Formats: sequence, C-alpha cells, structure tokens
Amino acid sequence: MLHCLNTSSNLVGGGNISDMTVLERQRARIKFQNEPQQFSGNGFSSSHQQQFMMLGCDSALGEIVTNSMKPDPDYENGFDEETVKKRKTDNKVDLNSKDKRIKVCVEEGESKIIEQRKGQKNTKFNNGNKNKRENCEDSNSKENSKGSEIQNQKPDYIHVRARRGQATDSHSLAERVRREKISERMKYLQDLVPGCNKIAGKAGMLDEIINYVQSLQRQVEFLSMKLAAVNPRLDFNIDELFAKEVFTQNFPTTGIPSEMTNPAYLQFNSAQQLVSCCGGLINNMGIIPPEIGLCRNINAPTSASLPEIFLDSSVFTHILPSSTWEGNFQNLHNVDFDQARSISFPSQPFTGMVEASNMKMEM
Amino acid sequence: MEGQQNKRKRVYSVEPNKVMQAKFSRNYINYLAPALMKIKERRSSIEAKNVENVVKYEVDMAMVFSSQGFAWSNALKLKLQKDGGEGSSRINYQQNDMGPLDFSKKNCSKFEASKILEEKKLVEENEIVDDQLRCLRKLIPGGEEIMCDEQMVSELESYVSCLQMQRSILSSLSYSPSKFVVCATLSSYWIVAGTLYK
Repeated sequence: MLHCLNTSSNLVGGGNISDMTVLERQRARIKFQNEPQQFSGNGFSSSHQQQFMMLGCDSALGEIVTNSMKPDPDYENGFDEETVKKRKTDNKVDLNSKDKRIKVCVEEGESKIIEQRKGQKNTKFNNGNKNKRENCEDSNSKENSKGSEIQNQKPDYIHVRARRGQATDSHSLAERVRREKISERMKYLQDLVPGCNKIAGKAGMLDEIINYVQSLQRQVEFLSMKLAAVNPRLDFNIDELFAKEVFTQNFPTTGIPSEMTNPAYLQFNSAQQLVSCCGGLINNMGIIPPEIGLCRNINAPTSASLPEIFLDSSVFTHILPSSTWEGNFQNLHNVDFDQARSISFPSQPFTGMVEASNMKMEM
Repeated sequence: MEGQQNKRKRVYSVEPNKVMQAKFSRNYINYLAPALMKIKERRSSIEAKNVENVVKYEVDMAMVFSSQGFAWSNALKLKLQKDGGEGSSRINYQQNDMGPLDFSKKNCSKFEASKILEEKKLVEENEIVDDQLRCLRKLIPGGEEIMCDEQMVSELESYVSCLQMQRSILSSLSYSPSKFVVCATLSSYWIVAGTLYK
C-alpha cells in the first residue's frame, strides 16, 4: 500500500492528460488502492503505474475517491509485457510496449469499454494506434454516447468522438463543422425573415427563407413596374427635397477634422447640386407642413454673406461611429469645402432630436 | 456661450439597425428620385417598353448604390453594367420559375429508434439543406461566385434586409408619391449631428 501511495504521489506531478475525467482518475485510484498486491515488487517506474492505472480505470466503476490523481498514460516507457501480465486485472489487457499511443476513451458508457477491452483480452496491441482508435470509435459510435473531444497524450491528432449515426473520417468532420457554422448564421436570418421563429428544423427554415426572398424579389419587380407606370405623375420637387438636407456641421476654416469627415451623413450625389443651388437658386422655406416642425431658412449666399440654416429641434441629427455600411460613402462627399464654408451653420447648438429615446449623447 | 468652445457631441443610437436602415433609405431615395425625374422628363423619347426596363435598371442601381460593400451588391453592379438597360438584370428573378419551393420534410419517422433510419434521415436532411443552399445561391446576385456557404448565408442577411427596405421604399413611392416627400424627410433622412463649433 505504501508502494501505492508512493506511486500515486509520483503520478500527481507527472500527469499530463488534462482530459481525464474525474471518474477515470477515481477509478484508477481505486484500482491502485484495491489491488496493491498486483504490483510487482520490482521498482516500477512511475510510468508503469500510470499505465496500469489507465488499464485499471475500466474495472473500477462507480467508486468515488479523491481525484487528486492525474495519471500519465505514457505507457510506452519501458513497459514490459511480463509486468503487464502480472498486473492483469479483470480486463486482462496487455499492452504493447511499443504501442506509443493509446487512446483514452472518455465517455460515459464505461461498461462498453470494459467489454471492448475484454474483447481484446490477451491480445497485444500490435495494431497501430489507429486500429484501436477505430475499434473504440466503432464500438462506441453504436453506443449511446455523447460527443466529446479527447486530447491524446501526443499532440499529433485529436480524436473526436463520433456522434451517433455519423461517420468519423475527416471529410465528414469538416462537413459537420461547416454545417454548424451555417446553423449559427441562420439564427440571424431567423430574425429577419418573419415567421421563421416558429419553425424548428433547419430545412424548414431554409425553405421559408427561400420563399421569402423570392417573394421579395417579385414584389420589387412588380413595384418597379408600377413605378414606371406612375412615373409621369411623380413630382418630387427635387430642389426642395435636397434643400431639406440640412447639415449643421460647422466646417472649421482650416478644414474638416477627420472625425467629422463622415460625409455619408452630409451629402450624396446632390451635394453639388445643393451647393450650386445655394448660389441663389434655393430660397425657400421648404414646403414643410407645420407638424413636421422643420424650419429652414436658406438664404442665397453672396460671397460675403453667410446663409444661416436653423434647425428646429424636431430634426434629428446623428453621427455614427463607423459602421460596415459606410463603404464608399466618402465618395459621396462632393462638397467643396471652401464653398461649404460659405454655407454657414447655426450658431446655436442643436437642441433636440426626434428619436431621443434611441440615442445616447456623448460629449 | 457653449458654442464657442470646440466641443463635439457624439450621438450614438442604441438601435444601430435603425440608423443603418435610415442610411440605406436615404441613399436609395437620393439616387432614385432624380433618376426617376430624369426618366419622367425623357419619357417621350423612350419607347414605352423600355421605360420599364430603365426604371428597373435604376431601381437596381439605387440598390447597389445604397448598399455598397457587400459581395452581392458588387455582383449586382457588375451585372447591371454588363447587361445595362436591357432588362436582363431581371433574369435573375424570372428564371426562378420554381414556384414556391417545397422541401417539405420527408416522412422521417422519428419514432423508430433504429440507427440505420436515423442515419438515413440525417443524410437526407443534409441533402435537403444542400439543395436549399444551392437554391439560395441562385437567388442572391453573385451567389455563384461566393465560395463558401457560410459567407453566402451572411451575405444573405444583408441582402434580405436591403430587399425589405427597397420594397417598402418602392411601395411608398408607387402608391402615394405625394406623401412620399413628407414621409421621407421624417423617417429616412439622417443628418449629421456633430456640432463642431469654432
């Protein structure tokens, strides 16, 4: 027993398997404690015991011990077949000393492991690691085991537990990962497409999305045809329309600082038009019904005078931090800054916003 | 006075989607409205049939214009430039004469516990999903060129939301153009909030 304790203390420091379950460690510990006589008197290296512990994991089930042990399944270091035989447990698993990697099947159906190991009774692990892994996975894929990832002691590859009914080759693994990513993305789509929330399955949801996109496209087409028909009756007063674009930004004389150069909010392709309009073409109050509350006063600027643009508080202004939608909005900014300077801005601060509840002001 | 100081007020919306929607709407209208006026003016010189195509073209261009930076938007732009004005930009829509698709779930019996059936069901579902993804690819402009499915789905998000906005803008344009101007100024015009005082 003392021997046992010694080895266990050795194991604590040596273990480098991080994914050993608590249960396995517990079992290993129990194994050690229950069958000390199976330890040969020869000086075991700690690795031997560690290996043995791994074997012993299978048989000690459902026993709860401390989990301080972290066995290091470095089975290969000088492990003799004879010593293995001496330590035969119920499983009577032999280890091939040359077997470099032994997969640790971490799962919940431990009984299955025992059966499997029993099936490999007295057989040397001559098979390559792969075989064992496959055996493990094949047998376990038929079991009701949950999927988990196991880190092998050698960092060469990762064993992945197959889910029920799924293959385990790398191809399908990649497929599975891909599908999971797609499912992630589809959650966003669910919010966009109305009525998708009720549908549970992936296929049904996609079905819904496809139909929705098609219907949207058809609607757009129909509406554009209608627009073409309605066109003669359209009457935007374009000048007014764009004159309503009030910009309250004060351009400093030296130029626009970088933070303020988000011209997306300022201008669009009508910028030139507006600027040129300011040369005297626009002199309107804006046909704005009083309920809108806009009040603008664009005076035709002369070279000396500065038109003033007043903003009523009902017009909201907004600056955004950069968003992905800005894209090439910089291109839209056609305003000549010198000219823009002549378009003066209110000296009084802009006081209110329409959607004040939606906005946070930050000074 | 406060205005004398060099102070900047930053305004952030806590509902970023609305801002983006408004930006889109604004840019869209700003492109489309003058285009429509031009069409109106030159209507006499254009054949009747072509008017529709021209309008469609402008509608699509407005879409491209207001949603720059997406793969589908660039693809749409290329397509428009290539086909421009012939109305073949709508090929995308017309070719999808698939009707309402019905990938209705096959009668997968979930009640059977046999592993084989479950495997089969999974495979079937995967196939269905693959078909649907292929279908979606055709719907999105430029979907064929997008390499991976995940990227396509993310493009789809932006495409769908832009389509929705486009549709609402067009419907308000078509059905009540006179009210349009008022509504437009109210809802879709965002103006720079920064008050930088000298």
